[in-house]
Amino acid sequence: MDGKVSLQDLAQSLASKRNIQRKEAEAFLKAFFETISDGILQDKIAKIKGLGTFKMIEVQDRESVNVNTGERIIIPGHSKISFTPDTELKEQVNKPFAFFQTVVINEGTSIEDMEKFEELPSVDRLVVHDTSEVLETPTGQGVQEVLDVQEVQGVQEVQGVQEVQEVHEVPGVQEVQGAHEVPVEPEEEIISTVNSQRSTTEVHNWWYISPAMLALLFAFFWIVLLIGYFIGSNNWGNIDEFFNKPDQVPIVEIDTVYIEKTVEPDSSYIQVIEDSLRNVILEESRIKTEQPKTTANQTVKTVQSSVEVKKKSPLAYEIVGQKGVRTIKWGDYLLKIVREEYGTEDALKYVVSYNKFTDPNNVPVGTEVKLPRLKEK
Amino acid sequence: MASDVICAITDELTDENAVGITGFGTFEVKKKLERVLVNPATKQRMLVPPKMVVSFKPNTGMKGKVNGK
Repeated sequence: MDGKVSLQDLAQSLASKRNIQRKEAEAFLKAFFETISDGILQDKIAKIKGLGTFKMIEVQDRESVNVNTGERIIIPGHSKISFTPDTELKEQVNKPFAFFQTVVINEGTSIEDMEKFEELPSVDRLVVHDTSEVLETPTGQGVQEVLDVQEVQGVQEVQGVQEVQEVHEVPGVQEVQGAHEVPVEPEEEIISTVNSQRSTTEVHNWWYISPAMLALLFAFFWIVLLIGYFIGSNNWGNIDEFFNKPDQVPIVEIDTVYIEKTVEPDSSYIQVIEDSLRNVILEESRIKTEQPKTTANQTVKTVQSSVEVKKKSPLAYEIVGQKGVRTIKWGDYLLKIVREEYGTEDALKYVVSYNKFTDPNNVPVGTEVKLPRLKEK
Repeated sequence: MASDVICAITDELTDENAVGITGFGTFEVKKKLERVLVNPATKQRMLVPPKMVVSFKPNTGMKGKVNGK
């Protein structure tokens, strides 16, 4: 677990399985992977059943910054290999998390706790396998068990995985001692085991809730529910709908996890999406607002630019010298000049790096922009 | 025999071991934390559970081969 396996180790297990020499197994493995890489080179794609798909993907030139000097450079285009695992492999590897499902979050649940969480601690495989065994016997109950353990701890789902570990660490020990009735324990006993285990091992994580606080939260939750029920009792039709939805039941469990704070949910994720949308809109409006910037030569320039602007597919260019100079006048901006001089916006990154502009969005009036001569690769 | 190779790799990966093949690359198992997704159309918030995924990192030799060097 958590180790690195080499080609030789694979050869060893293959040799013992198939009753052949280790050298033969090694040779086979080498040839196996060489065939795969040859396939990728030749056909750009290699699909292996049971393993996955390797694809060769072309990457364009990309502008970036030299980490030492801070000046802008261009990372040349190249090819890279991508791998997508097959369904069988994915399922096999994800076995400990197989029971989890994506659910809808109700209004009013807080997700602040999630953002504070960092690395998922390493999962003890043996203990988790015990979990899957226990959960398999009462299958309907199984999912409920995991969620109830979370409810007890009052902690986010990720922590819940750790909790599931702890729950079954105790039964594991008991199993060694010969008490086999433990795996068939009903939910309530496991919850009490957790409580006793916590007091004995004295776990001091700040987000654990004491049993007294838990009882308070539980009562609070029911009070809120009752109040809501009476307020909404005017709309009987809606309430019927609410109760008849089959998938509402598991979602109620998740509510209890996040009930501690009734603060508005953290909208930082929504913010990211909105920001990216805003950027897209800004880009479009910037191209459109080319017209409203009125100068004396506006009419001449607009005719020019409307003729010359064509979106070519991004090609790779080489800088083979300098073809001239443009001075920034009032109302000019880099992208406009690039479009006028080269007929395509793709040349922008090359102009920026050729001139070593630190801030291409903020090139002051009067700056001399050196125009590199670009040759298509 | 080829399926045995794939089985062996799969077994190692399920044991959370990385598999490194010289001249090719390494297969790793990575943990993905749970995350909150927002459906931008319906504005519904979903909670995606944590999971384990397989990732592949090509070797420098392999990368060079692919780039024609």
